[in-house]
Amino acid sequence: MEPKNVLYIWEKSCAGQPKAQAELYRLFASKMYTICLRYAGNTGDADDILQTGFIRVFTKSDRYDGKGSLEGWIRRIMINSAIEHLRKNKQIFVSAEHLNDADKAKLISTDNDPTAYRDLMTIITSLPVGYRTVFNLYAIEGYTHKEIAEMLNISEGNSKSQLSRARSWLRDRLNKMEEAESCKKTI
Amino acid sequence: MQENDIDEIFARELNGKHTIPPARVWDGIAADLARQRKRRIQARLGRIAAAACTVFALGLGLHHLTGPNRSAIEEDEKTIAEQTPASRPLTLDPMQTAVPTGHAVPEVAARTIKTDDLAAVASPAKNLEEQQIKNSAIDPDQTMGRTSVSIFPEAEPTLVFQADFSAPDAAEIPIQMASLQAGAIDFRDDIGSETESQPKNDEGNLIVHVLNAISRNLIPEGKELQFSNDDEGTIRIDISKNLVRQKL
Repeated sequence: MEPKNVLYIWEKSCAGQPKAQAELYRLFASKMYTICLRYAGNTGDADDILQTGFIRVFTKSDRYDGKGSLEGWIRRIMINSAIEHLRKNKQIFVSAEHLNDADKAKLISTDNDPTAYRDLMTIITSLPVGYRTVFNLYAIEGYTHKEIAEMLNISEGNSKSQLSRARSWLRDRLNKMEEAESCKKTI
Repeated sequence: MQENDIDEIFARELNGKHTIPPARVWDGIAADLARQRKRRIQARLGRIAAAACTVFALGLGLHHLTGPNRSAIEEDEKTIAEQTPASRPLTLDPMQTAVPTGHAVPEVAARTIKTDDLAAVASPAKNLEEQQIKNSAIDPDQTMGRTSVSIFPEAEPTLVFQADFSAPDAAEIPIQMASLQAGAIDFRDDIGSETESQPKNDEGNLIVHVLNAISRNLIPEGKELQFSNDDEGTIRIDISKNLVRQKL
């Protein structure tokens, strides 16, 4: 459950007070933006998803029944907005076989970002959209294949297959990173 | 590396992390919310205006149904509709005006007036029956040739024409003054002494003025009952089908 001050801000925000809405945004925006980046793969789309998601949070606030966590509810809205955004832009579920050369080059490019978080973000955002979405939903958000299949309007088998391929891509990419690191140490 | 390990690595490293979004995202959200707020206010104002219009329309309808002159108006409208010959328009020219037999002017003054009677009063010609002229002239206020004509005898207002009957043989008897007696509507500003009785006036003659004013003020559907006259002095009555359907 959220602290009392968060719930107070939420109530004021529901009443349409602009200051409370700004404060609520300040509280959750950075966390939600990370989620948006994970799904979008680039900052332009992540910006759009975050904006759409928060407008929904403010305009559909009556749909939050107060039983679960507010953050969890906002998070679900962001994920749904991301899926909708990807679907609208027909980006979802492009199989790796259909990637063009530029995309493949992006996948194997090395990134010198020092932090593990940034490395992993770079790796995950370089995944094909379909793999990335299923991996995000399953491995990070904790949805089941059945739930993912319903959310993305695909079969459970398709979801499992996409996850398997995503893991394979990620494992390769992580191995390459490890190799690059060990080469640096040897030198 | 096991598959579950990969899941765990990413979940551990990426879950709950913060990335500050660019300021333009909030600017976009704030602008969108402001637009929505504005639309909601406009919609609310629109609903209030619609409700006010509905109340006003209901009030008018109620007044129309329960107004003091409804029975008289309905009776008069029915009479006009029944007595107006379709192929022969009413006119100020007595030769062309259908003056019902026996409707002498004093009798007219004592009963609900019909449009054709009113035309006869306003413009009696020398070839009208002498009896009618005389009856006009023997009005109690003979010096002014005053004659009273009640549009709605049962109820206010009462319209008074003051005419000069000094030359009863003239083709037209000019009306010098017309006013509402004990009525709420004052027509004196609208009818000048030069034009009020001229049947060929472009602006419409006295009778048309009076009838339209009464129509506008006493009948809520005033626009559905319009009086006009042409250059020949012919009075035209336009009664909408809607009104006729309602009243007959």
